[in-house]
Amino acid sequence: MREPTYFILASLQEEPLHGYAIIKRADDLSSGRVRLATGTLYAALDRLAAEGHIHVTREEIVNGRARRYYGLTPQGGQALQAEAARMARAARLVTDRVIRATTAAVRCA
Amino acid sequence: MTAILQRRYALLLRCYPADYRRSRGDEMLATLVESAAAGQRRPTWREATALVLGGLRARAGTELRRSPRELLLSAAKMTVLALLVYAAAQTVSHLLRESLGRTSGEFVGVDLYLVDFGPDVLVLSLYVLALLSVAADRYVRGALLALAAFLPDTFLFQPWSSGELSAGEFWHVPVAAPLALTLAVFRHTEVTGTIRWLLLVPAAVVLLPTEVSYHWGLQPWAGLTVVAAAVLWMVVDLRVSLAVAGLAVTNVLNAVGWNITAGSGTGAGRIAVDLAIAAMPAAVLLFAAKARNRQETRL
Repeated sequence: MREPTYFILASLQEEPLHGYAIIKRADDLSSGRVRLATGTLYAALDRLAAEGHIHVTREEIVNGRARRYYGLTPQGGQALQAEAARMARAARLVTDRVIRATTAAVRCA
Repeated sequence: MTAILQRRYALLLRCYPADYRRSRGDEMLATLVESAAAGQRRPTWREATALVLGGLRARAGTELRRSPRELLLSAAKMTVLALLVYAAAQTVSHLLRESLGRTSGEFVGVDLYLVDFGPDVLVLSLYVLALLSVAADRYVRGALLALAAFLPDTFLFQPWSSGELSAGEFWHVPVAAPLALTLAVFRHTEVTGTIRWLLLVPAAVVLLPTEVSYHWGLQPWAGLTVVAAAVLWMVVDLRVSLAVAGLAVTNVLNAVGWNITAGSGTGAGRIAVDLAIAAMPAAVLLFAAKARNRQETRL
């Protein structure tokens, strides 16, 4: 899963959001690393909706314009969890080694 | 201020197809305006690039992910169409040289042409019909029409033995016809705009290696420009780049044919260099396409 996709799905974990709110939430969650352009966001939303990972939960009119809220589907939630678990396993390969090395160093001392 | 920015973003949103704009345009415009900084009057480069690329991809129908099988079949169809465009362009090129040679009488290599206008017009008509058939998913008919144009054109009107130019344009139909039959076996169906493929024929006369483009001194630069454009176009539509790679592969086969027939007098080293140069565009395109495909298959 690409990083922007991961943060788009992650931003929808708590509640359905509209386009601009997704951009803001992804920016916050990634500490500013993922700054989605609007064109990129909507391309990703189309793709994720077609794959069944997100869906439109409601529409409202704000300042005369349609505003759609996107929410995670159960399938999208599972994909996000699976990706998070994969990254956690990959991270443990490094962090466990550091912990073991530190423990060994403490024992030797 | 917002009105100016809004107008400029609305202009950029025109990159998207009308249908897409109808369903998403307002929503995207609202998001773009909300994302803008206070006092911003112009779209940022980042937003503008994403909108242009997104629009082009939406127009090309590549926004949605395809399975590897769908991608391959779709790219194969584009390759067949591109090869038929090239075959038709080469016939147009024959016709142009023939007619120009007659009026000026100064054209180099007029003696290579054993055919009159009639056979070339017939061959061109068959290639155009083949192109229309393949575009309409009538692959068997398209393959038969292409072969009906190719076989007499190659072996009767301009025999293979007639010289290097014939040898240099041999492989397009022999590659296109089996590929079209493969598409028929897989019953691949896909809506394809026929007019745009027909419009590519005159462009191919000028841009691809044809007798006319060589005569006008456009090669190899025009051909290299097409390859460079195909590499860049991968960002928008991988299938187009694969189709250009298909053209490049047949040019490698043609280079082999040329070296066997007309170029047999040159040394082995020179032949190897010629073939390596001919293979380079195909290799670059295929490697780049593989890398791009790996990127695209990720969610």
